[in-house]
Amino acid sequence: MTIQLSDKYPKLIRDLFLYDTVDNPTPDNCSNYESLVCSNFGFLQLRLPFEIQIEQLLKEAQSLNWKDKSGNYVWLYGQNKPLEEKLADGMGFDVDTEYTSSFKLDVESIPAFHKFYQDINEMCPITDITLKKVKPGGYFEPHVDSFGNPIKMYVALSWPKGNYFKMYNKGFIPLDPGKAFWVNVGTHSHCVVNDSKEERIIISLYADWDTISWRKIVELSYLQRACK
Amino acid sequence: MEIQYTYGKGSAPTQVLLNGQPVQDTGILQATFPFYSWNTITFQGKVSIDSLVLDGIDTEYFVHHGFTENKSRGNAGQEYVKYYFKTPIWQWFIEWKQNDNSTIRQISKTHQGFIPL
Repeated sequence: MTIQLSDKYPKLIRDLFLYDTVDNPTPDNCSNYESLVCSNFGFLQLRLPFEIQIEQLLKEAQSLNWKDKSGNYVWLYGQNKPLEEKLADGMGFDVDTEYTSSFKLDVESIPAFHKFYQDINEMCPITDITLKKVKPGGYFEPHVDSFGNPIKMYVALSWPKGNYFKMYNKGFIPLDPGKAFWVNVGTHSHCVVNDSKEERIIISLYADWDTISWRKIVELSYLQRACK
Repeated sequence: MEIQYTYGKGSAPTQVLLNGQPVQDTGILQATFPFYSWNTITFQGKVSIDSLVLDGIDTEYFVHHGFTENKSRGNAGQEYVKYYFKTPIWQWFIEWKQNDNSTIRQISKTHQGFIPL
């Protein structure tokens, strides 16, 4: 698939969207978890053993006190400090060094998030989870994430038409709301564009994936993958 | 394809070469390159390069990866600064950045100093 964006986006993004025709998110010859992880795969839709309460999650996300210092997202969990301090820290790339999976929010106000967090955390310990918002017309230029943990999980809560998550040489991730994807952001250049008139919100999380239950989920998801 | 560049303060360029051929040093050049070809642009003289925009794409910190006469890499030279780039620019630049941010490259930067790749 290729997409022609308007001139308001940087040429590098426009060319990537227009000329990168490769659509190959995962190789076809992986025999198990290790071979997939070592295959330099791009992304994989996950078959999670619980239902993602997408409507409730979106409502809760919209009810949060989003602060928009540098624009795009806030930390929700992860740092061992109150939400207010995390929000005050803004993006937090440089300050977020004390990782913990402790749940620090008033869970009664965000029960769907609490459930989502617990459901994942039971399978593999979450090291950091964030909500990310991109405004209409917003974008991130092609980049590779920190190599601290190369694979991230994304769940879109809102994904209005005109939103794209493009991974170089791998394709566009079909991030429809409620679908969970395991994404190799530490290996492959990727960029996002919100070419719609609405905000888009996703959950983004890192975890220690190397658990038996997570391996089973990944292997099952690979066998049942839709994005072949 | 359009090539735009700006010199740093105090530069004294003597000549610009595209694939070894002299071109007018106007700051904006038009050139045609074969698809999937490696090419060079060389700024001769005592120069530093502040920006290099290839085919409308700002190559950002790539300007600090030029080849110079003193066998190191950077954006400034006493005799010349030379850059290699490949067409199509978008693909070459994304791959260059991807490699520059790879784990091995990061470890190199952190623990062994600068390793030009």
